[in-house]
Amino acid sequence: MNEFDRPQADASENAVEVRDVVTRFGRQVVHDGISFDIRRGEIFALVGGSGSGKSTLMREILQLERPTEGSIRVFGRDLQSLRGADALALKTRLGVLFQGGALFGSLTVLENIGLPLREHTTLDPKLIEQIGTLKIALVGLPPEAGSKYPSELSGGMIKRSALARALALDAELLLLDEPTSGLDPAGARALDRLVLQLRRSLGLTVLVITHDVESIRLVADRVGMLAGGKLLALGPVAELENSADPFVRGYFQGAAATASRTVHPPGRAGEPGGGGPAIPRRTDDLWEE
Amino acid sequence: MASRPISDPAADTTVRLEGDVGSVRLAARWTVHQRLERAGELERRILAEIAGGVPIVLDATDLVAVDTAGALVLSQLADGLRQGGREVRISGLTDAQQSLFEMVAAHEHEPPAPPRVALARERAAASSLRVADDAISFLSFLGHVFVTSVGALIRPRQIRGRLVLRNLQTAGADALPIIGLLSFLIGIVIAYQGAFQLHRFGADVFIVDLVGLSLLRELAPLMTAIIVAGRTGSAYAAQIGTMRVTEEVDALRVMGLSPVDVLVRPKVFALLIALPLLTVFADIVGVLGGLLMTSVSTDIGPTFFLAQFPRVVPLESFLVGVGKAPVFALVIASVGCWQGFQASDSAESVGARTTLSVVHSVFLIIVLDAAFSIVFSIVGI
Repeated sequence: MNEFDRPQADASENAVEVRDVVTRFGRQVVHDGISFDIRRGEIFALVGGSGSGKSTLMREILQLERPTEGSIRVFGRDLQSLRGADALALKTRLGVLFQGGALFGSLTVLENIGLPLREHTTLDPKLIEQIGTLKIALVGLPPEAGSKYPSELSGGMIKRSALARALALDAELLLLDEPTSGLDPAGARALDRLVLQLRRSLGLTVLVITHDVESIRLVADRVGMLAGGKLLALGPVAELENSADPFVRGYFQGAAATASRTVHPPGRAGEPGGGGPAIPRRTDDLWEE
Repeated sequence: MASRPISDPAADTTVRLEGDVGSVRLAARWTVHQRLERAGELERRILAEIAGGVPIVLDATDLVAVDTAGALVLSQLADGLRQGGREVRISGLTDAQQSLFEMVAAHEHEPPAPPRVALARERAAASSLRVADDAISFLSFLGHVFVTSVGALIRPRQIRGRLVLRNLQTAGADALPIIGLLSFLIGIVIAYQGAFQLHRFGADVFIVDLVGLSLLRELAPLMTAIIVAGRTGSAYAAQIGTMRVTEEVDALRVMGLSPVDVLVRPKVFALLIALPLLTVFADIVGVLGGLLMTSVSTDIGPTFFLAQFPRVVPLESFLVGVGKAPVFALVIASVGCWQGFQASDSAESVGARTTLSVVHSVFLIIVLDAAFSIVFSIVGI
């Protein structure tokens, strides 16, 4: 890979190519043959009811999990065969906002943002601090927030700080898991504008998982809707809102009425394994008697 | 990352005088993956090569890739030159680059001061206050556990039987292999060392006393308690600590369930039962280890060892050892749980509290064991 034209080096024009992905946890089928592309420079929204496998798909793109079958290519590299230094190089081109923020509790916000810069670049500490401060301002936090620890922040501030960390390396592909949840409406719209601004200035590709229909309308070029393990619909928001499928149409209408109601596809609501990733979670001592 | 070539955009930028304008033709790439920290060099070069009073143009014609970090460095460069009294213009930016520069300029701030590090005397004061606070908090926790436990014993329906049984399984039955193995080895070591020393006095028969008394009175209860503190006490602290961080403890409270009832009492009850039983098991296996080593390394056979054993090891030695176990169990369970509840909102504090739970339990166990020895010698057991 030639450093001097890194983003252009890959022939593929799609940032992400998902092909026939099947994911099973034990007996539960999360994805049952999903294929779609995310084009370069596109803001792609992935929607679907709770437990429809949106986050799992994101984790597979991030190489945190492997699909049971099928392939995923990111910037033209097949994740299945990617190992070692190549896998690492690809990871530095991704920026991730996890749902809960996943800020490191032992580091201040500024140190959290500086961590990828310290690890992956040659920049000196002073410049890293300045870049970190800039990112903090970009996500709409006051500069003083940089010297706070995550435990001293509110939920919304954690979200913004985590976004600032995801932006640290100016990654080419930004993956956002529920970026606007936990933010007030004004803050959510400001975040939408920031995403649009970054895309305009840096040509980012963005994959956003969200339940926020207004945010989808504002930022998303295309929307993919997951339900029942399949990609139920794919296209621009306007197209999905006027879809012939009442379920797809209903998602946007229903969501407009009640912000984030869990939506089940018709006839599948009672099916076992309809909710949540299937990793059985021991509640242990909690539910006794 | 190591193999990627890193370019120095400052060095690749050409600076020259074109007519009455100082032209700075910026290198192609100014991103976080280049050596942006060298921008200071470029500023010095510009100041050296272009005389004061000559307007400077940062020419971005060649600029293909610039990210927020690059834009920050370049606008700092321009600002630095302006502060030096120079007239600076940036030209040739594309619309996207222009909007990036505007965005960066609108959000530039000085980094905040890092969090203040407390002075040594402040830390000393705070830590001594904390010790006092912790002691009071632990004692009141212990009292609370004790009072509710007595209440539960009076009304046995309040005992969460299934939870107690599950904890018995994890803290008791699952610990049998490790405790058996270690007690067996301790028995072997005692017998081997003892046999060698006693043989020099011709006092070989006393090996039975040595193995029996030291194991039953001291080593088996102590070893078992220390292993369980490391194995179970730490797990208690980590579990409750994590539940605090994920607000599960708060969820319990909101549902009207007392965290002490649900999380602490079953653990205390389970350990009160498990630790004495584990101690008895350690006694048996340890003595078996001693017996094996005695038969191998001395002329004393297993038959004589077993015949001699009840004659020289009184029942009260066994009872003294096993009697200490419930006290140790209370220490392990309450210290572990209390430390778990002290965890604050970070993974780091869960780790620190888990460590402290083991350190404090082991410390208390050994101190209490010493106190027991003194008391027993005074009352003559």
